[in-house]
Amino acid sequence: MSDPNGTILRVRGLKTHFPLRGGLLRRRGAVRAVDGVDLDVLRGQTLGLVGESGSGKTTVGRTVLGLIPATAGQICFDGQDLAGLRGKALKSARRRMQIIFQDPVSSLDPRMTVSQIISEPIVANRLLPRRRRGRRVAELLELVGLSARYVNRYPHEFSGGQRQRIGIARALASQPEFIVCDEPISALDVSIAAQILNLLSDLQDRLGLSYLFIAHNLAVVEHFADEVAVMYLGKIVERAPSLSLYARPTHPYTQALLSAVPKGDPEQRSAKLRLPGETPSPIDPPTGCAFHPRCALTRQMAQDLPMAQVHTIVGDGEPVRVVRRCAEQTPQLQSLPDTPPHCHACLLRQEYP
Amino acid sequence: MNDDRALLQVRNLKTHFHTEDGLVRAVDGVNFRIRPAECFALVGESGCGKSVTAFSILRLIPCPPGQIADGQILFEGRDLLTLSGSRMRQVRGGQIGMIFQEPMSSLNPVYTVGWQIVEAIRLHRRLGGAAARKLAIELLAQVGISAPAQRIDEYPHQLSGGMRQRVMIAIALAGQPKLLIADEPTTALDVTIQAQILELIQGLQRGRDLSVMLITHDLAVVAEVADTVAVMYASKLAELTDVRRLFADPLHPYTQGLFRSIPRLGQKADRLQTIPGNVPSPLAFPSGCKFHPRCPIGHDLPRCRAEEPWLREVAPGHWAACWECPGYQTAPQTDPSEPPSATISPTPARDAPTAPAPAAGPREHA
Amino acid sequence: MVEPYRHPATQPPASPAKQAEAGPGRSLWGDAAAKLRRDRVAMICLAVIAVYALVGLGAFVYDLLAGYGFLGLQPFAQMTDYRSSNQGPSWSHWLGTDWAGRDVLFKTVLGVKVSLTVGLMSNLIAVPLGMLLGALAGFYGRRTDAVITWLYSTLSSIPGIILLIALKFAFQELSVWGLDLRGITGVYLALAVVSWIGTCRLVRAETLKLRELDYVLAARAGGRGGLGILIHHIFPNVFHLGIISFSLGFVGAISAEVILSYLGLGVEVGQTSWGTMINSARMDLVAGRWWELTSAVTAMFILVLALNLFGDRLRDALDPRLRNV
Repeated sequence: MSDPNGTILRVRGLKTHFPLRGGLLRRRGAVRAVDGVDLDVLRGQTLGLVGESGSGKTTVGRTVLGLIPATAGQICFDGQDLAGLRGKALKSARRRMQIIFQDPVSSLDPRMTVSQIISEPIVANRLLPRRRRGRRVAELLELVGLSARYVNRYPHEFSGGQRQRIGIARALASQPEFIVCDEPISALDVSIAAQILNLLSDLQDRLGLSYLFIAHNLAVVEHFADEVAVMYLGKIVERAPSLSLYARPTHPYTQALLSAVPKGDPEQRSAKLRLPGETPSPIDPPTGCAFHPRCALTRQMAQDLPMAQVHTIVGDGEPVRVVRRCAEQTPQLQSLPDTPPHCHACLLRQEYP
Repeated sequence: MNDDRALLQVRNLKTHFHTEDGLVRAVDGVNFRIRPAECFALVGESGCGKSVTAFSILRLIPCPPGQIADGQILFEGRDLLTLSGSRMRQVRGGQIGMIFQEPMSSLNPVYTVGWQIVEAIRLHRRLGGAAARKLAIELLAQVGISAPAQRIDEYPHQLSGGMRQRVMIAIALAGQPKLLIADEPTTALDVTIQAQILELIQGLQRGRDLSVMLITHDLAVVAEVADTVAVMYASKLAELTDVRRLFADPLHPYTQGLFRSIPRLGQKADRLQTIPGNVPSPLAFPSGCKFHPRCPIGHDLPRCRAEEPWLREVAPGHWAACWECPGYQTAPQTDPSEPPSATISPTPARDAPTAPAPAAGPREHA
Repeated sequence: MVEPYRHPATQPPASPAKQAEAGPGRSLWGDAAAKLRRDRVAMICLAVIAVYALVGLGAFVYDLLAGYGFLGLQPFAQMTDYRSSNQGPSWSHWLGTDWAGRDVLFKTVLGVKVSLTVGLMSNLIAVPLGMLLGALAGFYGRRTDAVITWLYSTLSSIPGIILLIALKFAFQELSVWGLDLRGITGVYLALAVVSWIGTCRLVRAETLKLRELDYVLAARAGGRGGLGILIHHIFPNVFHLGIISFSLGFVGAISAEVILSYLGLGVEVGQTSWGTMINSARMDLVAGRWWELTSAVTAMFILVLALNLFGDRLRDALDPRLRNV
């Protein structure tokens, strides 16, 4: 029963909290890694998920796959709510969602041969009889651009890029329709990373795959993804088609992020939008809009407002005035009036576009 | 010969490693110079030898299995490779400072941040006790840490990645360096923090007349902060010029390939043009030009397969090592480690050094 | 500027520095073995251990045959010759004779069998047991971990020798599963009970680390259940710890048997071991008879030294961090 809209993955209100077991005198809390995330991934398309460390993007990828239990929220794969599935049906659904990891070294078991690594999903799900597995492994190796002669080699005999290809072959072994790419090129050299990106793109065209592409390199995501969502402290702050996001970043965090990316042109050494301070800890996120303590927009607008609408916080050791509503109200994602697919979660921008 | 205007001159540096699998020539003849108050970027992918070059300058290569087999490293006119152990220790952390990629493992987790800065102060300045602590607080403020008087007593694990990196810079600054070697200082940091750190380094560079040698694989970072860029591939320099010229007109096919394979912000392309194949392992370098198996131009040219090109000045201030580079055949073989005023006529022998060679032999160092 | 480039033929990427031919790969075990083979000290120690093993095997065969009277061989206990008791080293008895006139050299050789048996058997029980419990504790965590951790914490808070002695005492009276535990069987069972803890701790710590690695997560995403991951991913990657524990535990077992035999709690009456030799030498030393003690101690020293050195080199060869992958 597939979704007629062509959405292969639909996530609503996803929350993943890791409880903290405090000591005798410490009050308990939780690491709110993912704190209310809505996502849609269309068939054959790529949704890019960007954010810095602490944003929760990696946790989203693993929770969607069921590798980390979700604390709340709904995950619908191909129209079926995963929470309602059990046993065989669940296993069957999980088989169609796979993951590629960031670190080519730790993502392959050093004691297994390439053949054993790639055929593991086939073995675990009993997809093929033993005599046909060898051929399938060879097919998969060819698919990712590696020679089938290497089936009996061990991971440490390969370079980083080749190991990543082996990881991709493994992910493809169970014929998935959806793959979470968790920073697949961050640990690779520039020239090898480009090869892997091209490979992933080719595989998407040939096999009709859908990707959730998690990365922190914004230029890569712009190139590779069809739609991009920006995360901050467990929430999505802006989501738009790729070109639209980079042409018209609306949320102050997205603007700061894009401004911070080195442009790669020595003639254009622009001044950066400075983001004061550091990302707060997900254990104790700020009230209201999680970004407000560092937001330049709210500081700027607070200057023109009467005292009743202004709140004072301590930022970087000095008292700073921010708009009160930003500190109290949690913003929701709202579309831009003229380009509906582009939405963001900034109260001020929603009021004064 | 030895020019005051060059702060650091690296001449024909060769660093080899004797491993179980054979001799690894990690750095095999590298020449460049860094001027005062200049930001010099050494760019390359992993395994090209850029970190080994940096460690060789500070003589931090472990003596077996490593060995600085040849070359000169002239810092303010003195050859660092001939210094005694104790004099070299004065230079290390003093006139030449270094910061590393992983701030967590570069800071000792059992000592406070303040203790580690004071340790550096004590080693390189004649200060102790209260004066050292005061200076440490000042340094923390200079690197942009808020509330330094409180932070000075915190431990590394209490600080975020960006702050730890700032602490490392403060430790390096404690010795009043003239040259700061930064080995991938922002690779492990978020992009917004990276921007802050790069801005800090640039500010310090201008404010203190400090030279920076930046080791990185990220060309975008290079575009932001560097003045001069050297591209390294498989133990040798492929191209060397100032940053604007490199980005406007890269001459070496490897550099061109690198630029083509990087997605640029604001330019969405269908496919990236890649450099096929892999970076060669130092135990199995190709014959001739080390890049030729992957080169769109040279992969089947006999000269590229047989002979290895060396750096030649194909345009004023622009060196490249490629047989097929326009102007290469007639270019003079000047030494990039020499300032332009001291010209030396091109020598016919390929490996002849352009300065009186030191006694070739393995060097012992502390 | 530059034409877009298409590579004419896609060559298979070369594996770094190693020949890119078809065929079996170079496993990590193969690497470790090769490294060991190059290590001269390790190979000498291995040779020494092999010699001891052969000697022990010979002694075992002798005992077996002599027990049934084959080939006219006598069990050692009966080879008494009281006329030539307590004689010093001579040409007929290279290391002298003991109180019953038996050849000390022969006695030492038979002692090899005891020591090796104890070392082998106790570790064959303790190490797999420790590995199993350690992996279970580290992998499943929570309650399983709590129970196993409690178990070994409690056991290890009793001083090892005391526990050993207590167990052996108990075995003098008990008979578990119909086995006679008064002699050597009891020794190595008691030792197994005491020494599984070290391996368990080691494996548990490593399992905790392995559990978080990406390839375990990938196996879960690929559809493997907990047991499958334990068998296919955790065990192969902690096996080297078992080997190291085995080689170190061997030494401990030999020493423990000597102490137990010295206390009279070791092997059965009539059996000979280095421990009983050292025990009986107590009085001999006073009387100036040094050969039995020296013989036993020297034999033990050489074996333990070889085992220790080999164990160290083995650990270095197997240590994943010392590999440059």
